[in-house]
Amino acid sequence: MKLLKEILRALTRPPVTTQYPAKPASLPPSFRGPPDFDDARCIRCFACSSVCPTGACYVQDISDGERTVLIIDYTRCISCGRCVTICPTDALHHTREYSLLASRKTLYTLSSTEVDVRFIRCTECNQPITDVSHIRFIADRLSENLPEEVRDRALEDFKRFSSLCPACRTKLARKLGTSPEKWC
Amino acid sequence: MEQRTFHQNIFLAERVCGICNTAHAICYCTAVERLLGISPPHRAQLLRILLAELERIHSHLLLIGLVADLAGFRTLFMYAWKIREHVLDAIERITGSRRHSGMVTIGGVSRPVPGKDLASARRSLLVLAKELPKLLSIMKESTTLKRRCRGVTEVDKQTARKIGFVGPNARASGLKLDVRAAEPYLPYAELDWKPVLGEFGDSFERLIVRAREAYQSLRTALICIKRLLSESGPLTVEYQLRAGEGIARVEAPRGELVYYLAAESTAHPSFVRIRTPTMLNLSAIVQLLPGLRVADVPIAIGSIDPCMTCCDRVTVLSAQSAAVLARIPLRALTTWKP
Amino acid sequence: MVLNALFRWAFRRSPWVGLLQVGGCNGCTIEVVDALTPRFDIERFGAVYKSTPRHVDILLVTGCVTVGSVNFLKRIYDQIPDPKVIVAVGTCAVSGGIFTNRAESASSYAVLGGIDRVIPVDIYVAGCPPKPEAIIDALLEAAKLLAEKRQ
Repeated sequence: MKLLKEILRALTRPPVTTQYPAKPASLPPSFRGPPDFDDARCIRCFACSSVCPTGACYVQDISDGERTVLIIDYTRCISCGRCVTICPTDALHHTREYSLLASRKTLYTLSSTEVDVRFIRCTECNQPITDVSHIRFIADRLSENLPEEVRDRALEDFKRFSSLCPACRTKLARKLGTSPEKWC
Repeated sequence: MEQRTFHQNIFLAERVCGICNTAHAICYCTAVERLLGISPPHRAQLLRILLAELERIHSHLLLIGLVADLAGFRTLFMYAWKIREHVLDAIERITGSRRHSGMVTIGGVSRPVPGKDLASARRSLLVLAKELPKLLSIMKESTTLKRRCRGVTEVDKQTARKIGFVGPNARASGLKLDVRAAEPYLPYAELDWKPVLGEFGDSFERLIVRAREAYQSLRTALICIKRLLSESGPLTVEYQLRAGEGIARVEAPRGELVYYLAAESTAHPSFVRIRTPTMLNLSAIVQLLPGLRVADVPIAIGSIDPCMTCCDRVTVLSAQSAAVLARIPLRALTTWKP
Repeated sequence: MVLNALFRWAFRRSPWVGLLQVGGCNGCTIEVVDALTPRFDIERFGAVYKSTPRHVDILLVTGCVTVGSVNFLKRIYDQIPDPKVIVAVGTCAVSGGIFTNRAESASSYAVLGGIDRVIPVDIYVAGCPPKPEAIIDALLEAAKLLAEKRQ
């Protein structure tokens, strides 16, 4: 009897079904779609690629070594949000994409979002060090946080050291006598 | 799990089961917290309770619909899943995704939930609060369900204890087995919560107990939201990873879930063992199947809420080629003697 | 000619749908079953859910392929009559998802990866789990593809 009453009530009310393809789906404000980069803010520190649980975020050489990209592969991304949480400059945000379809031919375009990584190379031994924007970020942080007396001198030293790879930096520090080994 | 870091494992633990995912995440995080000797702050515990109870409602409504479908009562299946959408709306509003919330983390909860999301979730839950009693009364007076499910695998208290039922199946037989009461891992006592017990222990009673538990979880969730809207506080605690071992058990929607982990270094756990409730429930019901009519078998197996994905399976693989050598059937495991 | 056009119209407007889960966590399976329920009803597109592979045109496969499920996935694929469309639903079915990892050291001995290692897949839907709206989109694409295959 109660079920009959429910059925009659349902007949008099508007249908519960969404009108999906005709109208877009209604998403809550906190919806977590797959993430996307903000190129201007990203400093290419690769923290996102080290925390990704599925290996969807990684650095790769493409186009036969001409370009290096930091890529998020949407075929592996589970939208967990760890990369978004850990990014130090808030360069990643969740998109509101919920319909990620591809056919057999277009599968490799289902991935992704990517940013170019432009390595600067060591002036002594030509090894790649890190991206230009990362160096700029560190220099900005130093000039914000260091006290005035030492700021200019520190930034000069930083410019000198940051054009070298870690191995050459150690050699230079030993030559100048500033390496910490002498205090050990 | 032994090859990923502690934090990456939270997501792997969540995806052991697609229906009771928050229970797995809470159990894993509680095991790691016991290893580290920390405990999450109060607001984080309330948020964990909220997520766990919302998930319990959705899981029980899922099962009620599924058993109704197995009994041939397709209308009740559609009705139960229709009202389940309100809970999924609430979960989506709070966590951003209908399933696999990713909010539980080691030391607490990883994302803050703003007040307007909680208020919107409360609106969906209040709509559900009007519909759920209707579902319960339809089930109680439904001739189809009663004639198909009443009397099928009737299990009394002593037999339930002997064969090893856990979760709502045991509570339907009158056995007071609930981890939330026995070993409180979250502050349920301050939210006016009591375990729901049944009497007859047959398939019909298991469905009724689940519907009543869903209603009680709804009440608990609403009290939780009221508390969360009026208080504030930190969401995580500071901690240092270290080696050790930790064990935790929580009440998943299907029963008692146990996680044991041991770590020799801080890079990743060395050994993780998961014991899911479906393992116990399935091996228990398999012993009760002989003698049933063929048409009663789907009702019997369906009423214990088997989650086949989070059930252990034993497959013997060859170490060199990973080829399957043998599959041990469940019946052999129930009579296995070491 | 007219008969052909009639069959194409029928395949496009009334695809029969089946579901197969080969591994993974069950989340995508429940989202597919959600697509059958009143809120996201696929029956308004003419789709009917059938439980045997010999009756279906579109098979929705969820979960990542494990060592134990390779054989039955192949067997069920062979049992579906042509023309057929296979849809991989969920990140695990597309690429193995969280159960595999690009780093070799974090892979499992029991998980092979996405289902396109075993059977040819026509449409991929990523997401963990994909929303039922995405599954409805995939179904409509699959119905179009099915009508094209009928020629």
